[in-house]
Amino acid sequence: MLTIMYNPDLLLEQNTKTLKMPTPLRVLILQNQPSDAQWMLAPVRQAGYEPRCQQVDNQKDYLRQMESLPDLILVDDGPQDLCGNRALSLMRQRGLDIPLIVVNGAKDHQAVVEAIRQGAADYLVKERIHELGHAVQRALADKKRRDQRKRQELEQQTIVTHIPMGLMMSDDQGTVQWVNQEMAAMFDLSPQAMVGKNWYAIVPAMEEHRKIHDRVFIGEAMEFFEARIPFPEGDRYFEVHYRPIADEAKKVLGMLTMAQEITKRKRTEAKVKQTYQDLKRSEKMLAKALADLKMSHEELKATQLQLIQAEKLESVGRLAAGVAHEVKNPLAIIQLDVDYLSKNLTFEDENTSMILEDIHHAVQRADSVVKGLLNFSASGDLVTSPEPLEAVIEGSLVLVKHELDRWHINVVRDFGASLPRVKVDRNKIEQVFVNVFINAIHAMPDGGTLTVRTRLERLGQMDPNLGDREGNKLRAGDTVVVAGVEDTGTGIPEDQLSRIFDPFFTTKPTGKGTGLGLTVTNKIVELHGGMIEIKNRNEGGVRVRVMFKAHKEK
Amino acid sequence: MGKKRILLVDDEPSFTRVLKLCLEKTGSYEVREENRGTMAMATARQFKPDLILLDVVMPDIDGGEIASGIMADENLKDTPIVFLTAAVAKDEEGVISGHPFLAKPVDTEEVIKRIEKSLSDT
Repeated sequence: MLTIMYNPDLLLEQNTKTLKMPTPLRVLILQNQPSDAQWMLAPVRQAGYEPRCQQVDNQKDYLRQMESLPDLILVDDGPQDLCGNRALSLMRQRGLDIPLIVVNGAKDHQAVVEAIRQGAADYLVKERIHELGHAVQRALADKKRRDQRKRQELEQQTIVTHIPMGLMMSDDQGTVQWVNQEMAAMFDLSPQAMVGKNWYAIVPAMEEHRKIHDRVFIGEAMEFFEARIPFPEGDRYFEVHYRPIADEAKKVLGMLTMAQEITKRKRTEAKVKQTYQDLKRSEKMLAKALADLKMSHEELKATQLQLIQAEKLESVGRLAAGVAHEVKNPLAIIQLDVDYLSKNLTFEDENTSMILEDIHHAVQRADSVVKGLLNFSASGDLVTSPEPLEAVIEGSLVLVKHELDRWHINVVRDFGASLPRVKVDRNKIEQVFVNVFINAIHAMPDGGTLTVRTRLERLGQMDPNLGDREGNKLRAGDTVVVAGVEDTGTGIPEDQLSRIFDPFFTTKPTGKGTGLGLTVTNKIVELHGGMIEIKNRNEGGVRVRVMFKAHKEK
Repeated sequence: MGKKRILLVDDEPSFTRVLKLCLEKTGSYEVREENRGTMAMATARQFKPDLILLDVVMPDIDGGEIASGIMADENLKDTPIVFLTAAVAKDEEGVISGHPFLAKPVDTEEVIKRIEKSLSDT
């Protein structure tokens, strides 16, 4: 059952507005006369306590009662063999910290000093016993503070001991002053084995951090340093933080080192990095494979286009051969009809003569188209022999001499000296150059210069769209004899350059060209395993390059 | 000297008709047309030409076959043959199975030149 003790004095004294329950207080009183105890307890009650007392008068009882851990010990003079100091020392021996107040009759300064020095909470002379309440309050408060401090120390000690981080304190020379278990374990040592030793002697690799340590000793906190420390089983990695330990005047007394092993993390990082790099490499390879695939696809597409084009030309050729006969027969009839009528006009009529002349020309035009188609379809039959290319060119120039003179075209020859021969069907290649020359001549209606060069060249990287892809065709690195034909004419519109080899494509006015000249020319050159290139010259006019593999003389 | 006898074998009547007119107009030739290739041998045996102008591509029989028949015939084997064909592209004169040929279309002068050359060669 609870007893509420109402004490107006206490309330006054504590100057509180709330009603307070007295604090129970277990008191061990050590005195000669047990009956004397009550007079001491009045001021204690006044201070808000409800003392429960055990009185003892000998050491044996004192020690027994102490085991129940009283809140307070009061020593009233004490028995002869158990003075205040003796009581204190007995308590300390048991490792206890119970506030102990000495109450004494004598004003013995020496005894006061000695008792306080020994650790008594207070020392009161009996005439000031009314102050015992305050003394108890003070002693209990001190005890509470001590307990708190102890608890904090214990907590800190626990943290320092159990934190999974190496901690060490060292001086400016690197002498280890204190080290925790974790840190010592990192180096397979005990803390005792490390204290007093030089840190740089224990871990020579830390020499690398000396400059950082110097900065710590002028008061800087340094964080996140990585240390690689060699161990017999391999390198281990640590993340290290340094803090100066400074007094209130900021004088640096030592350095706190905090270290955490990150070897696992490093290895994982390295693995991740490696994996990332592998991934990157795979990605690159994939990209390259994709690019290759794309290129193959493009090449395939180009080849397909070429095949389609070749197929188209073949069809045109076959069709032409088939149709030619059917067209030529009626043309033959018309031709002879016109012949006959021209010679047997029964009346003089200018218009009739003119019309007959026109029919004659129309027949010739139609015939030349059919002839071109037949040439195209028949160009496959080659009779080749090694020929000097200049001689073939000269042959063609003879065939177009009439046209050159008619259009006032000057011919410049620039033939390379002692070039190898080329293996060609002479008639066919003459036809090639005749076609090229005729085109050049038609491009220079107001006269001009036709330049013909021959040179020996080594083929560089080839445009994949040029030439054929089959075995006997030209490749990069081949030695070729090149015939260059340049005119000073009108040039070819750039947008039409890609179509110049198409059948029936012509830039000439109707009737002037069949649109088959370059188609046949290209086909003949290709059949020879050669190559033809047609480009506009920067200076104006067109440059045609016809090239054949140089014949290897045996 | 009398007119030379020329046999024209070609499946195109319009062609043989006008060529006959053109050749006869010169006054130097007597021309017989034969538009059926299969009848060429018979006509030749009967007409006994000095020269035969022979088409190559015809519906029932080709000119080469007819030429072989003529060459094999004891009475006709020395008769010069000139092929006339629409099946070749060449401008210049060429040779088919040992006989000269002319590519159609062709004008009268060319034909006459060729005929005269072949006649003078025999």
